Amino acid sequence: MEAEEDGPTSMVDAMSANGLNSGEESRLKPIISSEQMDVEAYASLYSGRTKIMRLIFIADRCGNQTMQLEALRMAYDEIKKGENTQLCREVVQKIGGRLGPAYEMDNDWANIVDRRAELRKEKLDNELNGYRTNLIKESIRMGHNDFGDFYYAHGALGDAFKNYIRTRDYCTTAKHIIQMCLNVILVSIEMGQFVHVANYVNKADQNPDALDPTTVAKLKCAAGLTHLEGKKYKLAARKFLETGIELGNNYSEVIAPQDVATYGGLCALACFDRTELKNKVIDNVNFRNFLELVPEVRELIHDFYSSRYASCLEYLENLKANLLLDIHLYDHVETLYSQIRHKAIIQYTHPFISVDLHTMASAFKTDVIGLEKELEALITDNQIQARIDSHNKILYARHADQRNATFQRVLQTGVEFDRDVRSMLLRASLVKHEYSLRAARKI
Amino acid sequence: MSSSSSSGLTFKLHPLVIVNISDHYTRVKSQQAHLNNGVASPSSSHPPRVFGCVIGVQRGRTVEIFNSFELLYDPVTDSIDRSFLLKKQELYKKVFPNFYILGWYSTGTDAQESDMQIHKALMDINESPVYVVLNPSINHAQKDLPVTIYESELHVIDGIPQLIFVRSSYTIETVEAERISVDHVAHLKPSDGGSAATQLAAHLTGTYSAIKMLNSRVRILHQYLLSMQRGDIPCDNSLLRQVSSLLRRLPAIESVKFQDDFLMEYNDTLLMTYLAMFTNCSSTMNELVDKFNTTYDKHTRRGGRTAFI
Amino acid sequence: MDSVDALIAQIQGLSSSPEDINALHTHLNQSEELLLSNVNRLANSLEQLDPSKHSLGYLYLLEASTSGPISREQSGEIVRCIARFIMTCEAEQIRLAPEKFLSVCKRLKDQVMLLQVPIQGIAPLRGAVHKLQSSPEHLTPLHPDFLLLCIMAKCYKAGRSVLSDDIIEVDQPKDFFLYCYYGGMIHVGLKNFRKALEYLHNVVTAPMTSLNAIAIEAYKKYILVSLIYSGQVPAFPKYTSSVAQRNLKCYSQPYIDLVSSYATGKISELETCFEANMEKYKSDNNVGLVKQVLSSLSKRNIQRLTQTYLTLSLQDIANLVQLGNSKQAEMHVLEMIQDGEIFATINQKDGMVSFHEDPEQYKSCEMIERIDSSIQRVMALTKTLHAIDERISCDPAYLAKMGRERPRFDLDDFDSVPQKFL
Repeated sequence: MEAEEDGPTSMVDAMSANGLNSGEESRLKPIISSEQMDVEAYASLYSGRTKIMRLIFIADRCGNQTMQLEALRMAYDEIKKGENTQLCREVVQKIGGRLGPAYEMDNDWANIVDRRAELRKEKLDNELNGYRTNLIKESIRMGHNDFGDFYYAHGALGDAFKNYIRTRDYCTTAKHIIQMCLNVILVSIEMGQFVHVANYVNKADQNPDALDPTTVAKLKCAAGLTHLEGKKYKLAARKFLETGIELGNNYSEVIAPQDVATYGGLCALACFDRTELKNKVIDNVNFRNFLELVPEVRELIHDFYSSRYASCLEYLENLKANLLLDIHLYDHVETLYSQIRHKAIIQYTHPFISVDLHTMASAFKTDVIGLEKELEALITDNQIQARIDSHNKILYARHADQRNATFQRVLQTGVEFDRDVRSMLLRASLVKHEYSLRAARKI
Repeated sequence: MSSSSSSGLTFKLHPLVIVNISDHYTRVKSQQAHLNNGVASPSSSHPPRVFGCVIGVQRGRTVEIFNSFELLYDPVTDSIDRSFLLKKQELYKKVFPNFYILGWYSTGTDAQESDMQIHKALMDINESPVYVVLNPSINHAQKDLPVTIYESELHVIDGIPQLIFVRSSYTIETVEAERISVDHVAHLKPSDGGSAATQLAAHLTGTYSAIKMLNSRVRILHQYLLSMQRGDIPCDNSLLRQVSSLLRRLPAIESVKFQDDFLMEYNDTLLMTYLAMFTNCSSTMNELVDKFNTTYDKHTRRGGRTAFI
Repeated sequence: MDSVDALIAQIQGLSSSPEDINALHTHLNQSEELLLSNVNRLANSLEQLDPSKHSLGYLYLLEASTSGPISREQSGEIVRCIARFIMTCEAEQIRLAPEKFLSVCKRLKDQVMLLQVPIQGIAPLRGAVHKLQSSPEHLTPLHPDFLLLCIMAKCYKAGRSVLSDDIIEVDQPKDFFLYCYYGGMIHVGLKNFRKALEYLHNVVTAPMTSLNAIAIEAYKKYILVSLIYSGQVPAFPKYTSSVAQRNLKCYSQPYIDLVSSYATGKISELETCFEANMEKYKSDNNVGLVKQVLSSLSKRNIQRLTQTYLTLSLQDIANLVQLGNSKQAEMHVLEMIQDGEIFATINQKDGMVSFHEDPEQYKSCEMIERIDSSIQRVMALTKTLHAIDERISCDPAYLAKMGRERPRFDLDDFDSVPQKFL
């Protein structure tokens, strides 16, 4: 396909413009990936509603006609297995007839499904009313639960949420509570309301004895996703790293273990310092299992740790296109990438007294001018203690002279103190005068 | 009027008496100043005199003065209010049955002629009263307490036997409770030229005086050598030899590195002193601001004042 | 007629000892109408008196004789007369009648301004200030007048001597405001922006119950000087009166715009803002200051460069700071080196500027002297504070309030004695 020739050149552009282009632009620009994402393999990792949503997302974002159609086709198939007619209509609209007559709006199917839904709804309603009059807690709970499942399957997320919440009052055992929490978390993630996710993860954590390792892992993932959405990358990294391998494929309605590895790895790389990186990621036996699933991320972390920045950044670039198609990560990719790049630069300059900018530029695969600008930004931000010799293009480390700095500060503070005390005395004098004036007036 | 006493009595004075007298005096003085309200009048330049009685125990040859109380003084008749004195004596007797009136006190620089009247008036209560005088003027150079105890003795002057005041020596006797309160009062305000309140200050003062003495001695030597050079004084070789050996003993280092390090340390110490100074100043400022805010705060609020100054 | 002569004789007679002077003072107070009715004759009578010995009497006569309207020809003579009097009068005597002295000095100032020779009034008024002050820390109403004359005559250095006294006692708020405002302006004229900022800050944060025009003008200048000195305008400190905090900003909108465009760091933005509000700056007489703000922005940008670069070419400097060309950049850098704001050397051969660290090592004898003088200053300040502290502790108002609060505490907890050295 023609995309592949264009691939490498557009990659170089993207690299040198790293961190300087805002995220919005990349969203508008069609993203051409050098490795075609295997949509089928990707989709097979997930199940349920999230699979459909992810496929739709990919279809919207990728600029590639073939991939788009592939994704939409798979989405259609998946929807047909379910009962969400509304979503079906949307997907058909997006397909726009490009996939042939088999992928038109199947109105008959839609009607059947809708009618079936009506009947089921009635039945559930009657059952629930019956239970309510009988006041059997367990049945009421199950009734609401069924309602929630029903609405979820039909895409009425708000109603599903409400029903799941209602089961809370009828939960008797810890297991029920956990089940409710997991349901609510699932719906909230789909709705994108991560506040609720946080609340219910906490709630579920309060019953530690009833939690089996899988559920623990699920909750950790949910918490990690919340933090990721809230841009708290460090906390997100910690949560993802603590996720146990028991997760396996049990949470495919929300997240795949590959995602755990990717999110956790990238956030850790962007936020942790070297010691934490070594302890929590590289030496983490548990997380290693996750990393096996996504070997690029593993390689990239190791490269960063051993200062092979060129290859590290290369892996990052390769992954970038696919990551931009991920429903949770897409708007954090730019930030995370720029943070990782900055950390790489800082780490590079840290052990040296002087660094030749040419060698550094080739290590980071950029040109000297761009590198100089980046360094200037970092120095002004006080992340690097150094000065640039623009004439010879060398970076010199600069260790502030503590003694001089102290002297300066003390003398400065003394002057300010003197000034402040005198101003205070002046103000006191004025206040005293005003006070005595007022006292004199009163008499 | 005052020579040393020959009665052979030993006097022991308790700090409570001194504190009482000084408190009495300060109160009267500030009340008077308040009444005058800052108007400069000639009478205020003379500090008021206060009068009172001292009480205590006399055992054999030892007179121990424990406590004191105030008396009303009538400037018109120049005498003590007798009835008031008796009433007070009765009250005190009830509380301290062992204490007798031993004498009286007053403030001033020295015993005066008019005091003899009062002294004689008291003689009917105690055959030989003592007269305690407190000098309220603050003299930093003085090392002793400004308190003097006078006794009255019959001396023959110009052929007439007269009662005159003679000075007696005394010691300070302290009870445990008094020691604590005296300690407390002493820490209230370290006097400007007075004794050092802390060990560090004492040490530094010692070093300072030692260096001052060294400096003055060296200056003398310098003058001496200069005049010898000018020819005002004949050359004394032995002295010169001594001076030269003294000079050789001095560890004078002149290298640049020494100068550098020395100046650096000097600067460092100065800087720290500077920091300490304005930290101290800021604590004074803090107290001042609190007091100021209490006085001039227009809104009477209890606790939690806003930043006002 | 005779009464005036009698008065003069009295003045001559009674001007020797302090009691006589007090008596003379009361007498003079009683003869005020007499003096006012015989204004014309007084000029001759003044000849008979010697200002240095008979200061009090001379003062009264002088005040009465200048109380009426003064014609132009007379004003020159009056100015000289008053000036001579001030230089030679005796401080003790005139302190007995401060209001009269003040009105005489004010007349001098008015006349000098009318005649447009403010410089003539400077020396006499400086003498007057020193004579009227009861201590160097006392602010008199003459201070702002004196400073005003210095500003009008552009003799800033003359004002500096009076400004170097640290004022602690203030009687009239209006004097204080004017004094600080003029003081700030003088320091701006001397290009001593740090001190100017101090004075203007005092005006802006002074306790006031209602907004006054001086504070508004001072705030505008405060913003400008603040930008020049430190590149930003600090927020109002906590102790600023609420009146000031709420209202000052409303009156100085064009200056606040200037602040926001300064914050962007781009000269072009600053210039557009300047053009836009030029009229308002002109009407406030602040154009000169605003121009200095403009140049300070480029200086600040260059200073920022010294933190990141060791050497930089002049062309790069020009580009980074948005100056026109490398020649302009060179000029700016040279100026800054001469002013001591940065430490650098320019290599003209290859157009490179090398920035150096501050060579001050804090190890020299000058530094010792500097720290020593600062220590002395702080010690003097502490002494003043102690004195004021003692005075307040004995103040009956304070004791009354402390006494009122006493019953709230337990006798054990309440400790009115500061535990300073335990």
